[in-house]
Amino acid sequence: MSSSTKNKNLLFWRYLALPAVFLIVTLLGGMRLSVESGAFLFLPPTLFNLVLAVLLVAVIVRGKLLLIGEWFSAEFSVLKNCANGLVLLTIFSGSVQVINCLLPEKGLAFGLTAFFLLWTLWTNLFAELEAKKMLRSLAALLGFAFVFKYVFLASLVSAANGGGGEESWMRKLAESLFEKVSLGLLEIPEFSGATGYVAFFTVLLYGAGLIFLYSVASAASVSKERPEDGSASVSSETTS
Amino acid sequence: MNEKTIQILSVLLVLAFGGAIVWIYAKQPQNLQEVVSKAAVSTGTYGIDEAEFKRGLEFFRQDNFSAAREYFVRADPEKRDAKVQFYAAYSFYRQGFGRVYDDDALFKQGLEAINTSLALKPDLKINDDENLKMKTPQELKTELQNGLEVTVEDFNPMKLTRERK
Repeated sequence: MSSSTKNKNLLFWRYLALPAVFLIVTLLGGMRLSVESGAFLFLPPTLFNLVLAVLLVAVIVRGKLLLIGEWFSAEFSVLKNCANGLVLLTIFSGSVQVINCLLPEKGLAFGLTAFFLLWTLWTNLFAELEAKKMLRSLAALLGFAFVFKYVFLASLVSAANGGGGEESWMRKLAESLFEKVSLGLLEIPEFSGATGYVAFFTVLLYGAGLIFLYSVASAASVSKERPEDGSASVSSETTS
Repeated sequence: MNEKTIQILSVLLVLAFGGAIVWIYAKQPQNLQEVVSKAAVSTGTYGIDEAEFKRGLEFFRQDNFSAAREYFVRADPEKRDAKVQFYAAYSFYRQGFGRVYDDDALFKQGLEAINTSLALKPDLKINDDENLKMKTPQELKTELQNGLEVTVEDFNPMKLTRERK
Protein backbone atom coordinates (compact mmCIF):
# COMPACT_ATOMS: atom_id res chain seq x y z
CA MET A 1 0.00 0.00 0.00
CA SER A 2 1.45 3.38 -0.96
CA SER A 3 2.19 5.96 1.71
CA SER A 4 -0.46 8.39 0.46
CA THR A 5 -3.12 5.64 0.51
CA LYS A 6 -2.05 4.75 4.04
CA ASN A 7 -2.30 8.37 5.04
CA LYS A 8 -5.78 8.69 3.50
CA ASN A 9 -6.90 5.56 5.33
CA LEU A 10 -5.58 6.97 8.58
CA LEU A 11 -7.40 10.24 8.02
CA PHE A 12 -10.60 8.35 7.21
CA TRP A 13 -10.40 6.29 10.39
CA ARG A 14 -9.45 9.23 12.56
CA TYR A 15 -11.87 11.85 11.30
CA LEU A 16 -14.87 9.90 10.01
CA ALA A 17 -15.00 6.32 11.30
CA LEU A 18 -13.96 7.05 14.90
CA PRO A 19 -16.48 9.85 15.53
CA ALA A 20 -19.22 7.84 13.77
CA VAL A 21 -18.58 4.85 16.05
CA PHE A 22 -18.56 6.94 19.23
CA LEU A 23 -21.64 8.90 18.13
CA ILE A 24 -23.57 5.65 17.63
CA VAL A 25 -22.47 4.63 21.15
CA THR A 26 -23.69 8.05 22.38
CA LEU A 27 -27.07 7.49 20.76
CA LEU A 28 -27.57 3.93 21.98
CA GLY A 29 -26.00 4.25 25.45
CA GLY A 30 -29.04 5.84 27.06
CA MET A 31 -31.59 3.89 25.05
CA ARG A 32 -33.88 1.44 26.83
CA LEU A 33 -36.98 -0.37 25.63
CA SER A 34 -40.12 -0.36 27.74
CA VAL A 35 -41.12 -3.78 29.03
CA GLU A 36 -44.84 -3.20 28.37
CA SER A 37 -44.93 -1.71 24.90
CA GLY A 38 -41.35 -1.91 23.67
CA ALA A 39 -41.38 1.89 23.27
CA PHE A 40 -38.05 3.72 23.16
CA LEU A 41 -36.89 5.44 26.34
CA PHE A 42 -33.89 7.74 26.15
CA LEU A 43 -32.30 8.24 29.57
CA PRO A 44 -30.00 11.26 29.69
CA PRO A 45 -26.73 10.80 31.59
CA THR A 46 -26.55 11.77 35.25
CA LEU A 47 -23.87 13.95 36.81
CA PHE A 48 -22.21 10.84 38.24
CA ASN A 49 -21.98 9.36 34.71
CA LEU A 50 -20.04 12.46 33.69
CA VAL A 51 -17.66 12.10 36.64
CA LEU A 52 -16.98 8.44 35.84
CA ALA A 53 -16.56 9.27 32.15
CA VAL A 54 -13.94 11.89 33.00
CA LEU A 55 -12.04 9.21 34.93
CA LEU A 56 -12.47 6.73 32.06
CA VAL A 57 -11.12 9.23 29.52
CA ALA A 58 -8.27 10.08 31.92
CA VAL A 59 -7.39 6.36 32.06
CA ILE A 60 -7.48 6.24 28.25
CA VAL A 61 -5.11 9.22 28.11
CA ARG A 62 -2.84 7.66 30.77
CA GLY A 63 -2.81 4.45 28.71
CA LYS A 64 -1.44 6.52 25.80
CA LEU A 65 -4.35 5.75 23.51
CA LEU A 66 -4.72 9.49 23.25
CA LEU A 67 -1.62 11.65 23.04
CA ILE A 68 -2.97 15.11 23.61
CA GLY A 69 0.04 16.69 21.92
CA GLU A 70 -0.89 14.94 18.69
CA TRP A 71 -4.44 16.25 18.83
CA PHE A 72 -3.94 19.88 19.78
CA SER A 73 -1.14 22.24 18.90
CA ALA A 74 -0.69 25.92 18.20
CA GLU A 75 1.07 24.84 14.97
CA PHE A 76 -2.08 23.19 13.62
CA SER A 77 -4.68 25.09 11.63
CA VAL A 78 -7.88 26.19 13.36
CA LEU A 79 -9.84 23.69 11.28
CA LYS A 80 -7.61 20.82 12.35
CA ASN A 81 -7.79 21.79 16.02
CA CYS A 82 -11.59 22.08 15.76
CA ALA A 83 -11.95 18.74 13.96
CA ASN A 84 -9.67 17.05 16.53
CA GLY A 85 -11.56 18.68 19.38
CA LEU A 86 -14.87 17.40 18.05
CA VAL A 87 -13.47 13.87 17.62
CA LEU A 88 -12.29 13.99 21.26
CA LEU A 89 -15.73 15.26 22.27
CA THR A 90 -17.34 12.22 20.63
CA ILE A 91 -14.93 9.95 22.55
CA PHE A 92 -15.98 11.66 25.78
CA SER A 93 -19.70 11.51 24.95
CA GLY A 94 -19.35 7.84 24.00
CA SER A 95 -17.64 7.19 27.36
CA VAL A 96 -20.41 9.03 29.21
CA GLN A 97 -23.07 6.97 27.48
CA VAL A 98 -21.34 3.62 27.87
CA ILE A 99 -21.24 4.34 31.62
CA ASN A 100 -24.91 5.38 31.44
CA CYS A 101 -25.62 2.05 29.71
CA LEU A 102 -23.76 -0.07 32.27
CA LEU A 103 -24.76 1.58 35.56
CA PRO A 104 -28.03 0.33 37.05
CA GLU A 105 -30.55 3.17 37.20
CA LYS A 106 -31.03 3.32 40.99
CA GLY A 107 -30.96 1.44 44.28
CA LEU A 108 -28.28 -0.65 45.92
CA ALA A 109 -27.24 -2.12 42.56
CA PHE A 110 -26.42 1.39 41.34
CA GLY A 111 -24.42 2.11 44.51
CA LEU A 112 -22.43 -1.12 44.25
CA THR A 113 -21.62 -0.82 40.56
CA ALA A 114 -20.84 2.88 40.83
CA PHE A 115 -18.51 2.28 43.77
CA PHE A 116 -16.58 -0.52 42.08
CA LEU A 117 -16.30 1.35 38.78
CA LEU A 118 -15.10 4.46 40.61
CA TRP A 119 -12.64 2.42 42.65
CA THR A 120 -11.21 0.57 39.64
CA LEU A 121 -10.90 3.65 37.44
CA TRP A 122 -9.40 5.70 40.27
CA THR A 123 -6.74 3.08 41.05
CA ASN A 124 -6.01 2.59 37.33
CA LEU A 125 -5.39 6.30 37.08
CA PHE A 126 -2.26 5.99 39.22
CA ALA A 127 -0.94 2.75 37.71
CA GLU A 128 1.75 2.55 35.04
CA LEU A 129 -0.41 1.69 32.06
CA GLU A 130 0.47 0.30 28.68
CA ALA A 131 -2.09 0.68 25.87
CA LYS A 132 -2.72 -3.03 25.22
CA LYS A 133 -2.94 -3.94 28.90
CA MET A 134 -5.18 -0.99 29.55
CA LEU A 135 -7.51 -2.11 26.73
CA ARG A 136 -7.70 -5.61 28.23
CA SER A 137 -8.34 -4.17 31.67
CA LEU A 138 -11.15 -1.94 30.33
CA ALA A 139 -12.66 -4.87 28.39
CA ALA A 140 -12.75 -6.91 31.59
CA LEU A 141 -14.23 -4.01 33.58
CA LEU A 142 -16.95 -3.14 31.06
CA GLY A 143 -17.68 -6.81 30.36
CA PHE A 144 -18.14 -7.54 34.05
CA ALA A 145 -20.38 -4.51 34.53
CA PHE A 146 -22.46 -5.63 31.54
CA VAL A 147 -22.87 -9.18 32.84
CA PHE A 148 -23.74 -7.89 36.31
CA LYS A 149 -26.48 -5.56 35.08
CA TYR A 150 -27.92 -7.24 32.02
CA VAL A 151 -27.49 -10.91 32.89
CA PHE A 152 -27.41 -11.27 36.68
CA LEU A 153 -29.56 -8.33 37.84
CA ALA A 154 -31.97 -8.53 34.89
CA SER A 155 -32.62 -12.21 35.67
CA LEU A 156 -33.17 -11.44 39.35
CA VAL A 157 -35.53 -8.56 38.62
CA SER A 158 -37.42 -10.63 36.07
CA ALA A 159 -37.67 -13.51 38.55
CA ALA A 160 -38.74 -11.22 41.38
CA ASN A 161 -41.45 -9.76 39.14
CA GLY A 162 -42.73 -13.23 38.27
CA GLY A 163 -41.25 -13.43 34.79
CA GLY A 164 -38.95 -16.36 35.48
CA GLY A 165 -41.49 -19.16 35.31
CA GLU A 166 -42.09 -21.94 37.79
CA GLU A 167 -38.97 -23.90 36.92
CA SER A 168 -36.52 -20.99 37.01
CA TRP A 169 -33.66 -21.62 39.43
CA MET A 170 -33.03 -17.88 39.48
CA ARG A 171 -36.56 -17.37 40.71
CA LYS A 172 -36.09 -19.82 43.55
CA LEU A 173 -32.77 -18.20 44.42
CA ALA A 174 -34.34 -14.74 44.30
CA GLU A 175 -37.24 -15.80 46.44
CA SER A 176 -35.07 -17.43 49.06
CA LEU A 177 -32.29 -14.85 49.17
CA PHE A 178 -33.85 -11.57 48.27
CA GLU A 179 -37.46 -11.73 49.33
CA LYS A 180 -36.99 -9.69 52.47
CA VAL A 181 -33.34 -8.81 52.58
CA SER A 182 -32.64 -7.42 49.12
CA LEU A 183 -31.83 -4.00 50.67
CA GLY A 184 -33.03 -2.34 47.50
CA LEU A 185 -30.80 -4.39 45.19
CA LEU A 186 -33.73 -5.25 42.97
CA GLU A 187 -35.25 -1.80 43.03
CA ILE A 188 -34.25 -1.11 39.46
CA PRO A 189 -36.70 -0.57 36.62
CA GLU A 190 -37.39 -3.58 34.43
CA PHE A 191 -36.84 -3.08 30.72
CA SER A 192 -37.62 -5.21 27.70
CA GLY A 193 -35.22 -8.07 26.95
CA ALA A 194 -34.15 -6.28 23.78
CA THR A 195 -32.51 -3.60 25.94
CA GLY A 196 -29.80 -6.12 26.83
CA TYR A 197 -29.06 -6.73 23.15
CA VAL A 198 -28.86 -2.99 22.47
CA ALA A 199 -26.51 -2.61 25.45
CA PHE A 200 -24.38 -5.54 24.26
CA PHE A 201 -24.02 -3.93 20.83
CA THR A 202 -23.25 -0.56 22.45
CA VAL A 203 -20.50 -1.93 24.70
CA LEU A 204 -19.05 -3.95 21.81
CA LEU A 205 -19.03 -0.87 19.60
CA TYR A 206 -17.35 1.20 22.31
CA GLY A 207 -14.67 -1.48 22.63
CA ALA A 208 -14.26 -1.49 18.85
CA GLY A 209 -13.93 2.31 18.96
CA LEU A 210 -11.12 2.05 21.51
CA ILE A 211 -9.35 -0.57 19.37
CA PHE A 212 -9.66 1.75 16.34
CA LEU A 213 -8.25 4.53 18.48
CA TYR A 214 -5.32 2.30 19.43
CA SER A 215 -4.72 1.34 15.79
CA VAL A 216 -4.87 4.97 14.67
CA ALA A 217 -2.50 6.04 17.45
CA SER A 218 -0.04 3.22 16.60
CA ALA A 219 -0.17 3.88 12.85
CA ALA A 220 0.27 7.61 13.36
CA SER A 221 3.31 7.12 15.59
CA VAL A 222 4.85 4.62 13.11
CA SER A 223 4.44 7.04 10.21
CA LYS A 224 5.88 9.80 12.39
CA GLU A 225 8.93 7.70 13.22
CA ARG A 226 9.62 6.93 9.54
CA PRO A 227 9.77 10.24 7.73
CA GLU A 228 12.16 8.70 5.14
CA ASP A 229 9.16 6.73 3.75
CA GLY A 230 7.88 10.02 2.45
CA SER A 231 4.60 9.43 4.27
CA ALA A 232 3.05 12.42 5.88
CA SER A 233 2.21 12.04 9.52
CA VAL A 234 -1.46 12.40 10.42
CA SER A 235 -0.52 15.01 12.93
CA SER A 236 1.52 17.02 10.46
CA GLU A 237 0.19 19.78 8.31
CA THR A 238 1.83 18.61 5.07
CA THR A 239 -1.28 17.44 3.31
CA SER A 240 -3.56 20.24 4.32
CA MET B 1 -9.82 13.84 -0.87
CA ASN B 2 -7.21 15.87 0.97
CA GLU B 3 -6.85 16.28 4.72
CA LYS B 4 -8.74 19.58 4.81
CA THR B 5 -11.79 18.13 3.05
CA ILE B 6 -11.89 15.15 5.40
CA GLN B 7 -11.64 17.46 8.41
CA ILE B 8 -14.51 19.60 7.13
CA LEU B 9 -16.57 16.45 6.58
CA SER B 10 -15.69 15.30 10.09
CA VAL B 11 -16.84 18.60 11.64
CA LEU B 12 -20.10 18.44 9.67
CA LEU B 13 -20.67 14.79 10.60
CA VAL B 14 -20.14 15.43 14.31
CA LEU B 15 -22.28 18.56 14.38
CA ALA B 16 -25.15 16.99 12.40
CA PHE B 17 -25.16 13.60 14.11
CA GLY B 18 -24.50 15.14 17.55
CA GLY B 19 -27.34 17.63 17.02
CA ALA B 20 -29.66 14.79 16.03
CA ILE B 21 -28.74 12.86 19.20
CA VAL B 22 -29.39 15.88 21.43
CA TRP B 23 -32.71 16.40 19.63
CA ILE B 24 -33.72 12.74 20.14
CA TYR B 25 -32.91 12.88 23.87
CA ALA B 26 -34.84 16.15 24.21
CA LYS B 27 -37.94 15.02 22.26
CA GLN B 28 -38.01 11.41 23.53
CA PRO B 29 -39.71 9.76 20.54
CA GLN B 30 -41.18 6.38 21.45
CA ASN B 31 -40.81 4.67 18.08
CA LEU B 32 -39.40 5.22 14.62
CA GLN B 33 -42.67 6.68 13.34
CA GLU B 34 -42.52 9.33 16.06
CA VAL B 35 -38.92 10.08 15.13
CA VAL B 36 -40.10 10.86 11.59
CA SER B 37 -43.17 12.89 12.64
CA LYS B 38 -41.29 14.89 15.31
CA ALA B 39 -38.53 15.59 12.82
CA ALA B 40 -41.15 16.81 10.35
CA VAL B 41 -42.58 19.15 13.02
CA SER B 42 -39.09 20.48 13.84
CA THR B 43 -38.27 21.13 10.19
CA GLY B 44 -41.67 22.68 9.44
CA THR B 45 -42.64 19.99 6.92
CA TYR B 46 -45.28 18.31 9.05
CA GLY B 47 -48.63 17.58 7.45
CA ILE B 48 -51.52 15.30 8.29
CA ASP B 49 -52.13 12.04 6.45
CA GLU B 50 -55.27 12.92 4.46
CA ALA B 51 -56.06 9.31 3.56
CA GLU B 52 -56.08 8.25 7.23
CA PHE B 53 -58.16 11.31 8.13
CA LYS B 54 -60.76 10.42 5.47
CA ARG B 55 -60.95 6.85 6.77
CA GLY B 56 -61.41 8.25 10.26
CA LEU B 57 -64.24 10.47 9.04
CA GLU B 58 -65.97 7.47 7.47
CA PHE B 59 -65.91 5.64 10.82
CA PHE B 60 -67.00 8.85 12.58
CA ARG B 61 -70.10 9.08 10.35
CA GLN B 62 -70.87 5.42 11.02
CA ASP B 63 -70.80 6.18 14.79
CA ASN B 64 -67.76 3.92 15.24
CA PHE B 65 -65.94 6.49 17.34
CA SER B 66 -63.12 4.35 18.77
CA ALA B 67 -62.04 3.27 15.29
CA ALA B 68 -62.41 6.85 14.04
CA ARG B 69 -60.08 8.11 16.77
CA GLU B 70 -57.47 5.48 15.88
CA TYR B 71 -57.37 6.85 12.35
CA PHE B 72 -57.32 10.45 13.62
CA VAL B 73 -54.27 9.58 15.73
CA ARG B 74 -52.58 8.03 12.70
CA ALA B 75 -53.49 11.06 10.59
CA ASP B 76 -52.13 13.55 13.12
CA PRO B 77 -49.73 11.75 15.50
CA GLU B 78 -48.22 15.01 16.75
CA LYS B 79 -51.60 16.66 17.42
CA ARG B 80 -50.73 19.69 15.32
CA ASP B 81 -53.86 19.98 13.19
CA ALA B 82 -56.84 21.86 14.62
CA LYS B 83 -59.40 20.18 12.35
CA VAL B 84 -58.32 16.62 13.20
CA GLN B 85 -58.28 17.49 16.90
CA PHE B 86 -61.76 19.02 16.56
CA TYR B 87 -63.10 15.78 15.07
CA ALA B 88 -61.31 13.74 17.75
CA ALA B 89 -62.99 15.88 20.43
CA TYR B 90 -66.32 15.55 18.64
CA SER B 91 -65.96 11.76 18.62
CA PHE B 92 -65.42 11.81 22.41
CA TYR B 93 -68.53 13.98 22.77
CA ARG B 94 -70.74 11.77 20.63
CA GLN B 95 -69.50 8.56 22.23
CA GLY B 96 -69.86 9.95 25.74
CA PHE B 97 -73.27 11.54 25.20
CA GLY B 98 -76.13 9.97 27.11
CA ARG B 99 -79.72 11.05 27.66
CA VAL B 100 -79.58 10.12 31.34
CA TYR B 101 -75.97 10.96 32.03
CA ASP B 102 -72.79 11.70 30.07
CA ASP B 103 -69.57 9.70 30.34
CA ASP B 104 -67.24 12.00 32.29
CA ALA B 105 -64.06 10.13 31.34
CA LEU B 106 -64.76 10.51 27.61
CA PHE B 107 -65.88 14.12 28.03
CA LYS B 108 -62.63 14.95 29.84
CA GLN B 109 -60.60 13.49 26.98
CA GLY B 110 -62.80 15.44 24.59
CA LEU B 111 -62.10 18.62 26.51
CA GLU B 112 -58.34 17.99 26.23
CA ALA B 113 -58.62 17.48 22.49
CA ILE B 114 -60.79 20.56 21.95
CA ASN B 115 -58.38 22.67 24.02
CA THR B 116 -55.58 21.50 21.72
CA SER B 117 -57.69 22.42 18.71
CA LEU B 118 -58.48 25.85 20.15
CA ALA B 119 -54.82 26.50 20.92
CA LEU B 120 -53.87 25.61 17.34
CA LYS B 121 -56.61 27.58 15.55
CA PRO B 122 -59.11 29.54 17.68
CA ASP B 123 -61.11 30.74 14.63
CA LEU B 124 -61.67 27.26 13.18
CA LYS B 125 -65.10 26.73 11.61
CA ILE B 126 -66.21 23.54 9.89
CA ASN B 127 -68.57 24.54 7.08
CA ASP B 128 -68.24 21.55 4.81
CA ASP B 129 -69.81 18.91 7.08
CA GLU B 130 -73.60 18.87 7.36
CA ASN B 131 -73.37 15.98 9.80
CA LEU B 132 -72.09 18.29 12.55
CA LYS B 133 -74.46 20.47 14.53
CA MET B 134 -71.66 22.30 16.30
CA LYS B 135 -69.37 23.99 13.82
CA THR B 136 -66.80 25.70 16.04
CA PRO B 137 -64.49 24.50 18.82
CA GLN B 138 -66.03 27.05 21.20
CA GLU B 139 -69.51 25.49 20.87
CA LEU B 140 -68.13 22.00 21.36
CA LYS B 141 -66.09 23.10 24.38
CA THR B 142 -69.15 24.65 26.02
CA GLU B 143 -71.12 21.46 25.41
CA LEU B 144 -68.36 19.31 26.91
CA GLN B 145 -67.98 21.60 29.92
CA ASN B 146 -71.74 21.57 30.53
CA GLY B 147 -71.68 17.78 30.38
CA LEU B 148 -69.00 17.62 33.05
CA GLU B 149 -70.76 19.97 35.47
CA VAL B 150 -73.41 18.73 37.88
CA THR B 151 -76.24 21.26 38.05
CA VAL B 152 -79.91 21.30 39.06
CA GLU B 153 -80.69 21.10 35.36
CA ASP B 154 -79.30 17.55 35.31
CA PHE B 155 -82.31 16.40 37.34
CA ASN B 156 -84.80 17.89 34.92
CA PRO B 157 -86.83 14.97 33.40
CA MET B 158 -87.09 16.93 30.16
CA LYS B 159 -83.38 16.24 29.75
CA LEU B 160 -84.31 12.78 28.50
CA THR B 161 -85.69 14.33 25.34
CA ARG B 162 -82.56 16.23 24.37
CA GLU B 163 -80.84 15.31 21.14
CA ARG B 164 -77.20 14.57 20.49
CA LYS B 165 -75.61 17.34 18.47
